[in-house]
Amino acid sequence: MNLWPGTINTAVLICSSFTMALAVRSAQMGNRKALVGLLLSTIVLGAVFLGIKFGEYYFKFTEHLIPGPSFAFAGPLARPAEIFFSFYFALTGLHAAHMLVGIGLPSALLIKALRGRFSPGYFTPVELSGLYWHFVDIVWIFLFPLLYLVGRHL
Amino acid sequence: MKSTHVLPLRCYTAVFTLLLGLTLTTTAVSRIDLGSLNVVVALTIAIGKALLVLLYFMHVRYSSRLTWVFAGAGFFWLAILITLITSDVLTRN
Repeated sequence: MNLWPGTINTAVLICSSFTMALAVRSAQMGNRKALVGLLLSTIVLGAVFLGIKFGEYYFKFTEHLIPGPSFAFAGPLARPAEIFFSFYFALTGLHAAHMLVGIGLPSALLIKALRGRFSPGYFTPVELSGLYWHFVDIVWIFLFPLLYLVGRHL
Repeated sequence: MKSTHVLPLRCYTAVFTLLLGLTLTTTAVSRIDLGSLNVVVALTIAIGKALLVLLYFMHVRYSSRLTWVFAGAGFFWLAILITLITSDVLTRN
């Protein structure tokens, strides 16, 4: 596993969690302009994450690392490697699906925020979408070491 | 769900900087061969990062005790999963 796309993606996702946390804070304080900007940054950072992930998938594809008939891996560890990549694609694929939902939620919030639907008295949708986004971030916080880091010296 | 507690900006920036620092640390440590200790270090850092997100970004620290119980139950379940998987991986030849 190439370490750098994974590390960069972890940093990107942490940045997006940061902007989402600040978006919730702006909603709490009734700062509409900041809320719109921060939701937009969260969407952009989420898209950057998926872009890098797509690039990784593309290189796995060209290197014949997709489990199945065309899987090719040199050495005696070909079978375990195929199992590893099955886990890799199942875990990161499910995570990416949650990321798509996670980008959809702030997009809907963005439209509502632009219409001025949120105030310090009502920002529950922002708060709940924030919780969802942080949950997806936490999942990646565990996927990153399990898929990219711990297998390096076993 | 009206939360009256607004955290100061510097609390968020401090957590954010810590999270980025821990990410770089865990990547750097993974490049050194520590044997099975690599798993321990990587997962300890991951739990630390998840706790930071949970307590500050998700405001669990400032939530009710009931929220603590539910968040704790989720972590307990995760601990079971990771313990069972690593006990398999680490006892293989």
